[in-house]
Amino acid sequence: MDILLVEDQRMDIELMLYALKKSRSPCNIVVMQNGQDALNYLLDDNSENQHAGHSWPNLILLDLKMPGIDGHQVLAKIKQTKHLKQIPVVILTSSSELKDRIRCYDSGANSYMVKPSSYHEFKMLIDKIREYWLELNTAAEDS
Amino acid sequence: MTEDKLKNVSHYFSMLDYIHGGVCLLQKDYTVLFWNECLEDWTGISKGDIIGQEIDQFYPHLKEPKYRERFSTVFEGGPPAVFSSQFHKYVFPCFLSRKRLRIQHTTVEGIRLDDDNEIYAFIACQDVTDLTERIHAYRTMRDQAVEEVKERERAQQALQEAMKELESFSYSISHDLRAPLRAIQGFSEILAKEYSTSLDEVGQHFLNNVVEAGTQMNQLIDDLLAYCRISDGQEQGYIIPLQQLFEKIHRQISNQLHEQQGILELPGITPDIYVNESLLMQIIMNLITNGLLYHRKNIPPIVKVSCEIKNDFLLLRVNDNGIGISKEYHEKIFEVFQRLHANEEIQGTGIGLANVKKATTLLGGVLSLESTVGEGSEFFIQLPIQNKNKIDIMKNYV
Amino acid sequence: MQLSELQLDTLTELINIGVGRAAGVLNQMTQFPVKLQVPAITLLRPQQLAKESGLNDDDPFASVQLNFKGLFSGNAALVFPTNSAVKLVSILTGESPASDIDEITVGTLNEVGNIVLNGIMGSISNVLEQGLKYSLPSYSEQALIELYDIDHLKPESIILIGKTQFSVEEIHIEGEILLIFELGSFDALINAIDNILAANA
Repeated sequence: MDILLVEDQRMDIELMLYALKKSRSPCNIVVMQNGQDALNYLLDDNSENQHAGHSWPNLILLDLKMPGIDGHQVLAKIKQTKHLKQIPVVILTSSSELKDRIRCYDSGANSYMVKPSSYHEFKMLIDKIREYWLELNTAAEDS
Repeated sequence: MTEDKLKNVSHYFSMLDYIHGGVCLLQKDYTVLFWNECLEDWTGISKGDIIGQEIDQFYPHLKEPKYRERFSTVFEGGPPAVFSSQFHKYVFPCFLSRKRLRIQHTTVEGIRLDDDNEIYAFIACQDVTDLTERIHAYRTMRDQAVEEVKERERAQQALQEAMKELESFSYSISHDLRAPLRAIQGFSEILAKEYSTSLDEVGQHFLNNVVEAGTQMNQLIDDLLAYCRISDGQEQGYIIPLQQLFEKIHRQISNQLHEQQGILELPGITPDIYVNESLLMQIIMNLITNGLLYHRKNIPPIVKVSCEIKNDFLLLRVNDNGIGISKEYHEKIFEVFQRLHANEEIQGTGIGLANVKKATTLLGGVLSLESTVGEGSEFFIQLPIQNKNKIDIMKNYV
Repeated sequence: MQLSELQLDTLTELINIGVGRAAGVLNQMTQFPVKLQVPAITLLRPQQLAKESGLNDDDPFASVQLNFKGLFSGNAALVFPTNSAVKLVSILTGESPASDIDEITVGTLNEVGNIVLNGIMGSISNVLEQGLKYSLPSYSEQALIELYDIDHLKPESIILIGKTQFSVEEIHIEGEILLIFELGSFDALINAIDNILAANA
């Protein structure tokens, strides 16, 4: 799987999927709508991993403001877990607050992006993220 | 009791007529043996009237146990009695004026006269009216001062809490408003781009309207958030050289310049001072943006920014060749959401200038405006320089 | 200077009769009924005052004192930590507490001291069936150590200390009474007490 998207807003998810669909090369995406589900998916995956031939995501796109466990806590957990911390996590949020940025980088986020308001810019951003993290960047593990 | 005794007593105690306090001598049976001039003065009862009489005749309240018991102790050879002004205003009521009582501190001591085995009560009354009033006045004043300090602290506390609330409120509002806005804009844009063929001209036009409205709303939220953040003092932050600020502005403004086909002149030589980055950015960017936005039809906007240092102040001027602002609106334009022009002509949010004013005030500065309709405007800002080279928030504003 | 338990109890009771009478006088003047008692007393020599009195050396105390002379002589004092004094005046007069001890409060404390000490001295002089001469009470504020010039007190003097509890409506305020009996005076008192005990035996 290429991208794990952790995002609670349905419409943001739809826009994201639409943008990715329109991009140059196809992507496999798994969507989790809240932090707890995302963590369960990543952590429980351990045992099923060997059998199902499932691989880790190559990129995690993580929203910050979610009900229940928020993005900060998900980020912290991922970056503290031995077999997960190598996966690049790009924070994709509507918050440009300094304290959110600092906290994310302190927790080990690989990148922090603010969701643009226009779709046009959003599509450009998604294309660039895809290009940078999935094509240009070399992952820790070959999947 | 004999005439002789009375004569002896009055002779013996005659000096006490000269003192500034009341003195009375009572025999064991409560007969008055001596009544000094001061008491005559204070009570209006003359020696002639009261000496030889029982004190109860003139002051029946002295029959009450709270006096009787303590006087008895004295007559029996016991210790003296003290009647303080707080518990009893007086033993002998005396008036200063028609309504004002003298407040007194009275002591009653047992004394012996000659070889008499009898004990007599020596009553001394001290006028403490002035003292009492002064102390009460002092106490009131002091209580008031304490209350004022508490009030100020309460107000300060309330202010802090309100500011905190505003901060979290404005932040969550902007975040919550942006989510559906992203959806509105996003899907409308997609429709306008990729499904336009399904719509006729009118439909496409309406769709464009939706997109435009969304863009405007987003700008509004940005401006409003900036306004709130200036209020809550969040804009305390980086201090950078003024030169660097102008360079940043130059980079950020290039898109807008291109769109408006405008020209921006920034100062060639910048004074060597350090400024609060976000507040000065707010001020200058908003003014430049306005200058570019409010241009005259078919005349490309030219905005000039100049600055100089004079007497510990940084003087900033931003002038433009735009449509100008009529004098009657010179105050109003700095209020939030005040716009002078309908949306069609020029797309502003009405918050920019309010931000400029707020930021200027936080820095302890003054803002003024000169403008001619049809020719242009000049915004003039005077900012105090602290510590010889810094422009930052004035402490009493935070 | 050891008293038998019986003697000590009798002395304590004597003092309580005195403060009981004082409470009666106070009740005539206050809004709410006042209860006053001295649950226990301690006897010390002057040298022991600083260490064993349990009164903190440096704290400022408000004290009302009077002297007595006669068959036995000495000094009686009613002593409060300054903020207790302020509180006491407030609950007795029903006025809100002053923030410090001003002249009005001094006058009031003088009267309270006068009433309480008079009660105690009255009780003691009754037992001795002797008249004493008394001074008017005077007020002072200082650390306890400065209150009595310990060096000038004869080492044979006896100091009697008792905690004095004022209770008004749920509020309790504690002060101390100190009675200093100069040389020989205390013996006279104990003899008188022994006589009472003998008479009642």
